[in-house]
Amino acid sequence: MRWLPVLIVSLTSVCGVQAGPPELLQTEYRVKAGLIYNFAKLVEWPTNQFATANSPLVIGVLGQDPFGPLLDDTVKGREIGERPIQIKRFSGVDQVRDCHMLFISQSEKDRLPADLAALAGQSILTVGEDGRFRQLGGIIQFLNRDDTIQFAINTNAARRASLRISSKLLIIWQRVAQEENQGP
Amino acid sequence: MKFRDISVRRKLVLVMMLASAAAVLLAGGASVMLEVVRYRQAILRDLSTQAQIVGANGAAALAFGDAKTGQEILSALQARPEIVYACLYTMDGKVFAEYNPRQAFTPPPLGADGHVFEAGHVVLFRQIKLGNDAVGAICLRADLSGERAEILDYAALIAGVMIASLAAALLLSTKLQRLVSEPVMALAAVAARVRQQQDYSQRAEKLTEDEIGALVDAFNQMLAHVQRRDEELRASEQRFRQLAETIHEVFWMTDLDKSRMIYVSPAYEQVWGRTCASLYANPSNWLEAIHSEDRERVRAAMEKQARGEYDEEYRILRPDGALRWIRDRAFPIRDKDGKVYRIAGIAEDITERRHLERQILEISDSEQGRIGQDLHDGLCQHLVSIAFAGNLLRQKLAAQSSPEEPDARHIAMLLDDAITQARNLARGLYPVKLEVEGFGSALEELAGNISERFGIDCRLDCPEPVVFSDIAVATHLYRIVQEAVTNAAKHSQAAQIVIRATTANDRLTIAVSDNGIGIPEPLGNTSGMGLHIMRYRARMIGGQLRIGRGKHGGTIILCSLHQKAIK
Repeated sequence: MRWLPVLIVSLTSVCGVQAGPPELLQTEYRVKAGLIYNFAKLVEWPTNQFATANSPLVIGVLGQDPFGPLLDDTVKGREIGERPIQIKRFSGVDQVRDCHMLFISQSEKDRLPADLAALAGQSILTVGEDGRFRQLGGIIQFLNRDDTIQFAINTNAARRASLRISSKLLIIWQRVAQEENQGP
Repeated sequence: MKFRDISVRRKLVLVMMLASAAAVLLAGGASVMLEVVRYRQAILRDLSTQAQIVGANGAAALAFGDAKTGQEILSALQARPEIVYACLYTMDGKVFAEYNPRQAFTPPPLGADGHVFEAGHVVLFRQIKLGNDAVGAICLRADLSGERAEILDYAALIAGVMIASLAAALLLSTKLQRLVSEPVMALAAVAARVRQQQDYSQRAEKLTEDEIGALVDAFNQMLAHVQRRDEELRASEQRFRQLAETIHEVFWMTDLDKSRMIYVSPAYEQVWGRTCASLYANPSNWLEAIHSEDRERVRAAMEKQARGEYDEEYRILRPDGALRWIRDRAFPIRDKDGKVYRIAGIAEDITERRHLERQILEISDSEQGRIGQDLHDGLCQHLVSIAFAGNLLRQKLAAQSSPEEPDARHIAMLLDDAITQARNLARGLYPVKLEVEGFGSALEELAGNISERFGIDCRLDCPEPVVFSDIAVATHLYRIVQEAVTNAAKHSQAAQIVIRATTANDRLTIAVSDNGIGIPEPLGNTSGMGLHIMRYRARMIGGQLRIGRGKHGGTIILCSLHQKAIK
C-alpha cells in the first residue's frame, strides 16, 4: 500500500498528468508509461544504434497496445538528451526494426519465448509483464505486488544486448529485490 | 576633562595611538571580512558540489518514488560533519527524503536555486534533474561554526597585533611627540613667565624651523615690539611726570562737560592747599576754593574753555586762610575728527608776581615823584633865580640904553620857557595837585596841560566829585588816564579828547575817548609797553580795563572799578 501512492506521486511529478480518481487499469498503465520513459533515461544504447546524434529514440509496442493514448501522452514533446521519442506499434516480432525499446504486450503471452529468442542479440531493451519474462531472456519485468508496481532487471540479458543500465536504476532494483527476498 | 583641554604632549600620544589602533582595526577588520568572504565562498562551492553529487545520485530515486534509496543516498553525507541537515523534495515541494542526524532541524520550505545565510548556517537549494526533466530538489544546510572559530582565531590574532602595535605606538609616540611638543611647551613656558613677571625682555628659543619655529619668531617679534612700546611708554610717562610734577604750575585735564577730572598735577596740593584726591573725587573742588567775589565771573568764563579763550585771574582762599592769586588758562583738546573732547589747562600762582609788579610800580612811582619833586623844588627854583637875575640884568642894560638889552630880553624869555617846561615836566612826574587838591583837580590840570602842549581840545567831564581814601588807588587811576590821554594826543590825530568820570551801580568808570583815527586792531604787539602798564595798574587796584574803538570812530579806553576800592 505504501508504494502505490509514492509511485503515483513520482509519476505525476514526472509526467505532469493530474490523476483524478482513475480506473485502476488506466492508473496502472499510466504508471507503467512513466516508468518506461524513466527507463529510457537510465539506459545507454551503443552509439551505432542511432544514425545521428539526434536521431529519435524509438519505443515499440508489440502486440495489442494496453496503453491506449497514455504512452504517447507521456512522451509527447519530450527528449532523451537531444533525441526525440518516437512510438511505433508492431503486430509481429518480424516487423520489429529500428527499435530501441520494446514493450511486449501480454497479448503475445503465448509467443513470448519465440519473440524474445528472435530479439536476442539485438540492442533492444525489452520490457514485459509476464511472470516468465526475465527467465525467457527479457530484460525488465514489471511486477504487480499488492497495489504497487515494481520492476526487476535481468542484467545478464542487458549485457548480452550491449545495453548499459545506470547504476541508479540498479540500486533501486536491488533494494526492491532485497525487500522481495526478505519477504513482506 | 575634555580631549581638547588636555596637554599637547598627551594629545599627541593619544592621537598617534588612536591612529595606529584605527589602522590596525581597519586592516584587521578588512582581513576578517576577506576571510569570511573566502570561507563562505569555499563552503558554498563545496556545498554546491555536494548538492550536485547527491542530487544526481538521488535523481533516479526521486523519479521512481524510491524514498528509501533517497534516504540512503542522503546518509552518505555523514562523511561531512559540517552538513547538519539535508532533504530531497518532490516536484510539488513535499519532502521526499530527509537526513537529520541531530534531529535538530525541520525541513525548510522549498526555495528557488541559491543559498541563504542564516544564524550560523547556510542553506542551499538546488534543483535535481533526471535527463532533461526536473524531478525534484535538494536542500543542504551547513554549519558555519567553523567560520566562527576561524573568525575568533583571526580576531585573537588581530587583538595580539593591536596590543603589540599599540605598545609600539606608545613607545614611539612618547619619544616622537617631543619633536612637536617640546618646542610648543618651551614657547608656552616663556609665555607664562612673561605673563607672570610682566617682563617683556624675555625671548623664546627657536628649536625648529617649522611652523612652530615661525610661531616662535612671531612671538619674539611681538615681545620685542611690546617691550619697546613698554619702554617708550614708561619713558614718556616718566618725562611727563617729571615735567608735570616738578613745575610749580598746576596742570589739569578734564573731560568736556567738566564732570570728570582726568589729571591734575601734584602742584595743586601746594597751590590750593587741598589734596589731589579731593579734586578727583569732586571735580568742582577748585571752583569752591575761589574767592566769592571772583567765583561767579570764573564760572561764567568757563564756557570759553572749549574755544581756547579762557584766561582768567582769580583769588583762592586756602584752608589755612591764605589768599592766593591764580592765573588759569585752558586749551581745548580735539579728537581725530576735530571735535573737542577734553580740556587741558594750566593754573599758576601769580601772587608773588603781582606783589613784585606792585612793588615795581610803587618804586617807579615814588622815584618819579622824587625826581618830579627835585625838579620842582631844585631845578625850577634855581631857574627862577636865574630868570630873576636875568631880568635884573635886562633892566640895567635898558637903563644904560645898551645895545645888548634885546639879547638879555631874549635870554630872559628863554629862561621863562625853560621854567615852564621844567614845571610841566615836574608835574607830569609828580602830580602835586593830586595830593593837595584831589583827583578832579589833578585831571583838570592834566587836561589843561595837554591842550596847551598839543593844541588839542582836551576837556574833563566830571559831574560829581570823586574822592579817594587811598592815595595809591588815585595815583594808579591818574596814571592810567594820563597814559591814555597822552597816547591819544600823540598818536590819534584827534581834534578833541574827552575824559569822563561817572558813577553807576557802585562802580566808578573813567572813559577817555577821542575822535581820531582809532587804535589799530587787533591790539596785541602794537599796544606797546604803555598799554601793559595800564593793565597792570588797573589790575592792581582791582579794576577792569577795556580798550576799543568808539561808536563814532576814534578810540575809547574804559577803566572801571568798584566803589569799595575807592573808599
